[in-house]
Amino acid sequence: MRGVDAPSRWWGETDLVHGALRAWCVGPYRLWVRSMAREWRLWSLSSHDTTATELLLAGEAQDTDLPETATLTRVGLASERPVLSLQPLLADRDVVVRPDIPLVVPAGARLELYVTTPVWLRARAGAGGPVLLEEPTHRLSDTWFGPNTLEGELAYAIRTSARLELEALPQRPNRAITKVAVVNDAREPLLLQKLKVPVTGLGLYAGEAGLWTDHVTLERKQADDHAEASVGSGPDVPGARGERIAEPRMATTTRFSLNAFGRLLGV
Amino acid sequence: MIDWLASTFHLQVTPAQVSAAIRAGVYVALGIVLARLAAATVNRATRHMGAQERVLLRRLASYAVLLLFLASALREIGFRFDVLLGAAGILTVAVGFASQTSASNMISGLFLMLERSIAIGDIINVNGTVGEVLSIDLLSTRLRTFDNLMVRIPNQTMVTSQITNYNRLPIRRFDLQVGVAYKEDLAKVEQALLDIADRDPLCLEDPAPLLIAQGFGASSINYQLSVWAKRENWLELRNRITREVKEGFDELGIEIPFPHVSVYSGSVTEPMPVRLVPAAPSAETPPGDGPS
Repeated sequence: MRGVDAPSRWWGETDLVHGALRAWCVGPYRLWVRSMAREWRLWSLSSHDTTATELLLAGEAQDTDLPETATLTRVGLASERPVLSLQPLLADRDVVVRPDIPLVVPAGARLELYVTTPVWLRARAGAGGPVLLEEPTHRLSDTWFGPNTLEGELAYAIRTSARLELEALPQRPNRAITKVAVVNDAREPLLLQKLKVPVTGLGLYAGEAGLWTDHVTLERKQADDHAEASVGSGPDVPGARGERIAEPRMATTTRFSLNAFGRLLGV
Repeated sequence: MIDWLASTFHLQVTPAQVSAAIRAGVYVALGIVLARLAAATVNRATRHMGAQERVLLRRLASYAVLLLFLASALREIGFRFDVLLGAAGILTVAVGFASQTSASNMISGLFLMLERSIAIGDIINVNGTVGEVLSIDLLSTRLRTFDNLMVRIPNQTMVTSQITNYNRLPIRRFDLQVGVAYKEDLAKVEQALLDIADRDPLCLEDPAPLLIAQGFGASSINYQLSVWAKRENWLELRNRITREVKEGFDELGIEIPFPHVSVYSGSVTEPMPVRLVPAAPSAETPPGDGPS
């Protein structure tokens, strides 16, 4: 497997042999790929075990290893020398993070917390080749983020421990870490029940200890329940910044106007 | 040719009249071609607009060009518009009486387009007819039902009827009615229902699933589980959540009772004795002679 220089790096390119079945496992997500003269076959399966940390890279597999519940995707594409390119991407919608236990941010305080979100996997036939498959490594629950059912936008929901120490964060190969700074400039304490991480506007980095995103600052202004978001360049964690492996899904010009109503904190 | 026309149809046709008729024909043909060209140009220029606006502008351009050339064609064959204008008052009354319903439908169509309560491609329900809006025409709105029938609804009916638009808002709620047996632990039932909704990724986390105790029914204690889904996933969630509740209840041993009737002989009497009678083998039992 080319482009892989650390055990936790599951992305990059892999040379395949026609007819041979190869398997990948990235935490709860499993992928089997077989290239043939005129078509590609990809089987995928995602388990409900969100804590899975297993990693398998291009392992040899037999047809008997394929679970019946795996979803098969057939792509009609001829490849003389098949090369599979895997790339991690951030979610295709923003993610609403709900701490298991709501956090209080005192008036005038700044809080830095770390949230992890599952990444999407994009498989291509060779680097820059046609996309064979793109799907989440873990299917997140849908949610609606807005002041009412008329205004708002669809997002993904995730529950998190909202850890304040980086050392306490479990390493999972299919998740990207985002450092979120919450600044409460209001005179009242802020009860942080949920916050929207604008992952569609973030770049993705391959750091020493896994995947990282650009860092985000959410700032609550005085006497206002609304928050302004700003996206900083890079993860803003020593040693985390590595190679930038995916651009934001949203255009750069819209990165700072994240939604119509600007309500990013569920307070 | 003029002689042939005159002899065949006994007409007094002059060469000037034939020439005018040919010119009128050319105007009509040119009008049709240019109207189509105008419609195609407008169609290309309005790609960024919604389907409804595009259709409206396309028709306006097409009809305007066609009308202009038709008027020119009529003038060529000697039609005098000043006479028409002179008779406009009488004509208006006559046309008004003759096309009352059509005029009403046309004005209703205009209101429908301006109000924007429906648009082409929307799934709507009008007086119980559910279908996709194919077009909002001059006189009527055309729907395609899910069993692939074309339904034409007069615009007047559309304006005066209650219309439900299923496509207007991005999220939608599904209410699942479920009953559980009286013997069940209700706290366990409520937790089970909320857990099932929580586990399904299609079920929106916010707005949160809602559980409402509907009361004591004839055979069961009834609940309503209200869950939200993305509009496109609504039907899938409806099927899934029903299956998941049944499977979840089966797993936990929670009974979904059938309607049943308890028979008592009176509040102060002893329960009625019941004697079990073994059934006779069916092959030997003639119809109607079995135990009742």
